[in-house]
Amino acid sequence: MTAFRGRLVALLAILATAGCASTSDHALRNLDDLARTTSTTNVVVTTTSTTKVVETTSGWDDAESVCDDETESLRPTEPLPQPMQMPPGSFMAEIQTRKLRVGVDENTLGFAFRDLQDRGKIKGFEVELANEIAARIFGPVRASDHVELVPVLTEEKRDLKKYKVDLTIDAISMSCERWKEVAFSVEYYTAKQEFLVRKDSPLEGKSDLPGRKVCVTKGSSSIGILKEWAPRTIVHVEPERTACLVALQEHEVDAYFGHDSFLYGMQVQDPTMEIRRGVLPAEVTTSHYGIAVALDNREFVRFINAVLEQMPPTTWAKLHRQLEESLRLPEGTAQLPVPRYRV
Amino acid sequence: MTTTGQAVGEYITSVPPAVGRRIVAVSRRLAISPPALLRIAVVLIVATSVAVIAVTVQAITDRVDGARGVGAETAPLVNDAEALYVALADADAAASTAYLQAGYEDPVLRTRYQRDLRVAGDRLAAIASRASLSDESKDAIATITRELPIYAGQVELARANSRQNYPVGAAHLRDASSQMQSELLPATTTMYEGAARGLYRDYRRGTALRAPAIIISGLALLLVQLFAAHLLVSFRTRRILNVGLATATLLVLIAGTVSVAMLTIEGNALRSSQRHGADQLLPLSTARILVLQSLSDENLDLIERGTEPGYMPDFKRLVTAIGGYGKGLIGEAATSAVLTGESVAANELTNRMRSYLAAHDDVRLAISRGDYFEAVEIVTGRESAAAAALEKALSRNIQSAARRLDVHAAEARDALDRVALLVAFLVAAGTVFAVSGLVRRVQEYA
Repeated sequence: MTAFRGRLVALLAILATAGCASTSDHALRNLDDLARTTSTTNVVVTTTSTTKVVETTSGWDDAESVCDDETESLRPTEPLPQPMQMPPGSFMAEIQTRKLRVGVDENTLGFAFRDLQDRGKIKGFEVELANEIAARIFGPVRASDHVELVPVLTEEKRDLKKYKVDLTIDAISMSCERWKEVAFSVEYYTAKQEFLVRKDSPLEGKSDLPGRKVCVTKGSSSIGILKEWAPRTIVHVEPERTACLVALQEHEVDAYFGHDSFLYGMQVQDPTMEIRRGVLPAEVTTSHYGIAVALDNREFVRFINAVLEQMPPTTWAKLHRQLEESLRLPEGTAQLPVPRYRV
Repeated sequence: MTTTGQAVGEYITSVPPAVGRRIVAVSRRLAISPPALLRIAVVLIVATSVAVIAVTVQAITDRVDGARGVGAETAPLVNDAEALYVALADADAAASTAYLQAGYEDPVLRTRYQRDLRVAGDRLAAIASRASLSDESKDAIATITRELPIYAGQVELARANSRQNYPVGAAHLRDASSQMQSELLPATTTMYEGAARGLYRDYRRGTALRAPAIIISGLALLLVQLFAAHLLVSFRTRRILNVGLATATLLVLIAGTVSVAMLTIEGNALRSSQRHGADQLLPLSTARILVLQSLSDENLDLIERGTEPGYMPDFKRLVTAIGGYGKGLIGEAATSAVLTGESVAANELTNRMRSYLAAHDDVRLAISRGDYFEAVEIVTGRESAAAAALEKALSRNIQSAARRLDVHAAEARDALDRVALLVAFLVAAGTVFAVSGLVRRVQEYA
């Protein structure tokens, strides 16, 4: 699948004309949006330079179930309901009567981690996004008392039923395969999968990988990528991200292949480690993070997308800055991905 | 002397003459003269005495070893092994509670953890210095001594990272815990089992019927020889009573009585030690270990968010084994207590067990609702407290049983104190008298 996509992109790159804004991938994928019609919706062409979308879709339709581009989510709700005034019978109305249950990680510096100086409260970029969603459901005052953060295990992050959560925000990479299990919001963060190594490691390029022991987290997309692009690597699977850092520290593995969003945090926790970029091609290592919601709750996805869309740029900037500071990254490293919608 | 001697002599001479004729016939057949026969008797008696003394002393020593082993070696080893397990398991519980509660710097947990490590170190040293360890136990000690510093190091590494709010600290703690559960604690259990088996081996040794059987047979053989010699002498010499041989017979009879009596006392005391002590101590000690294992199952299931399906079935198995009123280990201890007139507070133990299980049920309920934090609160609060209360009650009963065990074992040891020496002396003295008595007769022929 990824290989095919790579070739498709390459082909379109040759055909494309300059002039589209934003990253080349996003611009090119627009071509797929064209000319898809159904009987009940008005087709609207989106451009990458604007994020405002006007449409009048009612209910679900087959077109929306088709996954051509994993980062395309469902059109946002318009207009966004007022806090505590969710449409009767909707999933949000049900949430309104209780607390919002959110599946999160608790081991990733910057994104979702326990603040041991504050009674172990889970904090981070992903938690803040969950709080924003809660604020739109309960209102800013009630939101803080109505969010229940549930730590989930990495390998089962997409099992919302098991944890009885309404949504999970935990560095889940969107893919068309995964769209069969859960529905995703728009992309909220773009990460790249890179190799974390000890500073003296000789690992430079793909040719250095065969025979090396590389750590990955159970159930992550990293395993598939390694299998396809570096099949002679010895894969060492750990249940948690931090366990891979420990394995690296203990010289049990030569590298940890994971999202740079985690690797930044690990460099902070252990300055003798460093990130080696570009070992594998960029197209295969890009990860688009989406918030996972149960497949049945597509209206909730629209609601979330609307919340994210209507978050003021200043709020985004503040959250990005907080993230960059906790990961000791230069300002501007964290960027807001452009939201893309189906149909 | 003369009147009684005459009476005895008359009795002896009223032995059928056939016996007397037999002796003469045998000596004529063997072409051995009566003096030679007497010399043979002397040699035989001396040889038998020496053998009997050797064998008797050995037999008594065996029993003494059993009794002494119980008090000085095996019962203390059981106690040390159990205490070591408790210390290690509690240290890990303190560390994993700190993880669940995100309370790495909680001074109460920290103090508890450090105290546990110190106790573990002390007990480890005590066990290692014991003489009678099986090979399996020696290996276990080596494992624990090797792994404990690594475990402690990982816990400190976790703490150092957590102080900086680095999530990798939790990974170090998980490593430490898994090392404790998969290496240190199983090694300790191996040692505990070996110690328990050793204790009952010592009980068997200390009450073995082999000893009195050997002693009685040996002394009986000696008595038969003395009697035969006495018969020979009085028939031939018409001197009814041979003072030497009579005294020897008396001394050997006394030796026999003393050894059988003391062995009986010692055997009874040791059996009391087992029935009033060990038979309650062992099930209760084992129950205490199982309580700790079940609590760690609960903790780990929570920490690993139920991904490992084996913890809950194991919890059930442990809880069933611990039992309660009339069942399981608690039931076993209570039954043997009733039989011997002690009281094991079976009701109290069962009630505390119920509180523990009630808390456990609430934890499972919270988990089924997806309420992870509530589950953590119950486990680190009510359930831990209930387990601690249960442990305390078990510990109290264990201590009473241990005291009874020790008291009776001491009685057993005291009973055989210097008995071997006394019996050897009596038999030796008897031999001297017998020989002198016989030699005088031989000299009369010269």
